[in-house]
Amino acid sequence: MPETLEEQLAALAGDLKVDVPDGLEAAVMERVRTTRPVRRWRRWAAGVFLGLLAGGVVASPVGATIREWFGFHGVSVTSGDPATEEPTVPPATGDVRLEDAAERAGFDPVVPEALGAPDAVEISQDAAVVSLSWETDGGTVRLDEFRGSVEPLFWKTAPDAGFATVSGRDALWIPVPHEVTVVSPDGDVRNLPSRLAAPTLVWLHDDLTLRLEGDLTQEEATAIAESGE
Amino acid sequence: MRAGDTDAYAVLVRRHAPMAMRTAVLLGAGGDAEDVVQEALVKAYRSLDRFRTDRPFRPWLLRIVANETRNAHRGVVRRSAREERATTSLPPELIDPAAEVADREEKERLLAAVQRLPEAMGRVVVCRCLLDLDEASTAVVLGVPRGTVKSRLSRGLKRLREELGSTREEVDHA
Repeated sequence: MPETLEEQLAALAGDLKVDVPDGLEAAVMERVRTTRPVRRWRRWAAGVFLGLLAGGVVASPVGATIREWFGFHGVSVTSGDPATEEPTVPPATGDVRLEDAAERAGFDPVVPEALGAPDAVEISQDAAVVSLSWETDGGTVRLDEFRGSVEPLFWKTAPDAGFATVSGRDALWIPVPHEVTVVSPDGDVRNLPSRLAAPTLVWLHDDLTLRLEGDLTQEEATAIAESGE
Repeated sequence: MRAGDTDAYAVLVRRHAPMAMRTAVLLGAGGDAEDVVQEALVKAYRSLDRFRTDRPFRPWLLRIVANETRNAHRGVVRRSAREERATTSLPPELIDPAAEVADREEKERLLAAVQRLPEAMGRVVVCRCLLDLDEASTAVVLGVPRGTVKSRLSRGLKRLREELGSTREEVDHA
């Protein structure tokens, strides 16, 4: 038995087992679906998940909150027409060493074992985003990493985004080519061109948000993501 | 994701249901815990428009759980004051009966002692020590000022020490 009362309580807490009853979630969601949704919630949810890119979701603090609840800081998914052109994955441009990028960004970039050492490492001018890229048989694979506290950096327009899991935690999978608009940290949307992105997996690793982009299936992307955990 | 807004809420429900259940049970919802949590999650959804958006979701949800637990408990207490207290108490099975638990007896004694604390103190001790909520979150969940959380915690721990000290002596003398 541990010595102090606080330690004893902590040990006790670790042994307390409270199960979530089967069917609780289903019962709640059933009631939620049949209840008249609060109009504002509808709007925020719509803002986050279904659209309104042009409608100024950026300005909605509630949208930001929901993003935080989901833990995907800096990434927003909005709807739009599916893009039909072939996306190109831009390789990282730069000959920064990984260690230098880590030092400037203030975090250790995740390097998924499945991909090995990156072919190129880039750090954004404001040192907020570290990008790695690999040239594979299937084309360029790119991994962007940034601290969760960085506010919206990537605004996406994707009709088929869905929840996924990476190592048991929530992730977002955007299977189709989609528009990505890069927003600078000062909120200026226009100073960087939007571009067409390949399938993308977004997940979290500690306080980092990671987005992996390339010509990948969800299984491949998930395997790569999990190899970096 | 086309399915729309409620899908988003389902993720929140899944993520927070374990902590919500734990909170309801440890704050004494007993057999009503499932109903309490279900009610709280539906209420939270309905009152999302009153939610302060600069605050994290979890303490806000747990506050609704704590209030619902209290309401359920009050209903029970009103029905037949004292005896019912026992039915809303923390069952010893909370300490996983199937698992190998070190010092099981001491832990059961500690749990029982927490439960015997005066309600206001007990709720703070549960939040801070058994639910592992920080002082600020506890203040939100229980709807009391942070200073009150601090003082009730220290009084609660003091009382636990006294009580456990005295039972230990009794055991030694037996």
